[in-house]
Amino acid sequence: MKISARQYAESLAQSISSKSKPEMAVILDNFAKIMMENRDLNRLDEILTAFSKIWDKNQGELAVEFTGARAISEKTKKEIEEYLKLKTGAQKIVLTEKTDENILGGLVLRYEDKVINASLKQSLQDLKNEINK
Amino acid sequence: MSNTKDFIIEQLKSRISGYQAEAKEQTVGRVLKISDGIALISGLSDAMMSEILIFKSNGQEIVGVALNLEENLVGAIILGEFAVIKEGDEVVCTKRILEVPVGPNLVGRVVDPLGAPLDGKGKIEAAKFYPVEKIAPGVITRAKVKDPVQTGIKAIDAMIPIGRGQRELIIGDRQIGKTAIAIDTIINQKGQNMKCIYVAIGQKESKIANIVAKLEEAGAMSYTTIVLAGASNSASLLYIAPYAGCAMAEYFLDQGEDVLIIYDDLSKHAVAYREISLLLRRPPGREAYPGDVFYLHSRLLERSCKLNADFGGGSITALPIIETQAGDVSAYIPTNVISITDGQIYLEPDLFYQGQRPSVNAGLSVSRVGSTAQIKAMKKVAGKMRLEAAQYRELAAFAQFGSDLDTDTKNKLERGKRLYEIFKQDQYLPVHVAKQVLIYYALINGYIDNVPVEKTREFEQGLMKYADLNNQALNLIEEKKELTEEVEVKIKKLIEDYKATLDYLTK
Repeated sequence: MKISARQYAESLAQSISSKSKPEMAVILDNFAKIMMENRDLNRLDEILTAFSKIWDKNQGELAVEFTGARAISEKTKKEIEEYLKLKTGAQKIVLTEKTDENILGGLVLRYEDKVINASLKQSLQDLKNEINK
Repeated sequence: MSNTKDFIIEQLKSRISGYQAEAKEQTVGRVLKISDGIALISGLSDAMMSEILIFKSNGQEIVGVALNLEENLVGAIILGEFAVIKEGDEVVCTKRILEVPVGPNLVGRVVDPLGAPLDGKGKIEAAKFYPVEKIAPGVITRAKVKDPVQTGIKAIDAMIPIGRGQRELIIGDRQIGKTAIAIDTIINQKGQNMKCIYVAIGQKESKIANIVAKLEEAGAMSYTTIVLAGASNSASLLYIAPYAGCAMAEYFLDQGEDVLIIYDDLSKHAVAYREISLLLRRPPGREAYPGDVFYLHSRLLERSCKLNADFGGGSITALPIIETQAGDVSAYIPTNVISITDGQIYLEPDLFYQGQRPSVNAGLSVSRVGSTAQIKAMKKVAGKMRLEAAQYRELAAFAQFGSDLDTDTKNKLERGKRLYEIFKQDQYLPVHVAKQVLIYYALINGYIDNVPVEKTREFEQGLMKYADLNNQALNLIEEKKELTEEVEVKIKKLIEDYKATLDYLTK
């Protein structure tokens, strides 16, 4: 039976968790060997993407992409982190910042497959739809 | 003037102050693969079955519907222009099951399966939105089918009566008048308290333009909606068209009204569904149709019903159409739909080319609701007509071999010839039920026996014109709906008076 990328990633994450660095090296070596035997090395990209998601989830980490119209202050960042921790129950928030003038103002948050769009552009669009009704 | 201005400003102010900006959490996904109107999407972890998805591509918003929910993927069909969607485009969940606008404003319009106008007559204000897929009414809510749908087609109203709430299949090869029967039926619903919905699935748009023109000419568009998924539309639109049409019918059903819905045709619908299923990689079965192709049609046709008085008493009568290949009724889709419906009208190519139009085959056509869906007068004159018509054809084939026939058989043959002459009817000219009773009465009581066969149609047309001029008998049939002695006397007198004016009768 074919092993899916998700299954690979899941098993790797399980075997590697709470292990010391040298132990990890051995496990990784073995993992690479198994993949070679199964001729699945070409799917490494897929597996790594899945792995990083699973790892983050196990560690209570949440990768969030943050888009603002301008650079934002540390204070706002803190507030956002607190908000997301409350909302999702994550232990730690990993923010990636981006600036995009097209959203005019406000902010857009992306994590997992969710989007919170609090941009000025979206508000204006909603207002337009509301008036057109 | 300034009043109007103030009003506008006030309105605008109230709208804007009423608007509250709020940021909602939305579930999004990305297009992984897009081909042939089918998209595979990653993410969308809380997508629902047949939920509306919005594809955001190039600043445009394109609607799609989730059809396959898998572990890491969502398979969706795209309703609309799919050429602009690219890999990696964002897809947003809407948390709404696929729905269409319904309401009285759709009457008289030509719309696409999503309810958008196609006739250039402007925007349609929908009364409500109804889900496209809905579970059919249950046993408790239903009533017996007993009120007639007058098709205005003599052969059908006499032999294969259709009731309100019935599902009667029209089946036959291409180009032998299946749509003609449906259109004549719509035309004949004028003043019968019936809303009509014609769902065109994969039809040529020129044909639909013709139909619309004909219906307008006959004044039938005032109670008709046309749902058009043309031959150039994608399979996804063809697939949802009949369900959308049925949802529009259900609105009137819920208002306690009677609706006639025509699905033209379900073979193309099955083909469209096969295309979608194969592209979604569902396993193919017989004739490459997916395993649930029976359910595809049964869940649609089961939504036709007659509700009892407690539930409004409305009805949906369905006339699905199936096109056969070279008269083969035992192919997969025709047998499926025959077994779902409450009877079928089988149109035969041989009859059609002999000039017998509509080419209804009396032997193979049947209505399982039967004479409960006829007015009493019609029941009386047309009681055994189907049997007689079928027997006549057997007899006629047999009689070709020998010339020595006893008088009884000869009489039967002569009667049969005239019966088939009466069954002939031109397109777009439905006949009122009272007139049908009149002509059948004349036939079964031997008034036409001395009319030469080739003059039968002339006799019939003359009789109808004469009856229009002296309309007491017709009015009486219409009013009583029953052949009482009083009515019979009137009819007899009318026919005898008319025959006295003719010069071509044989002795």
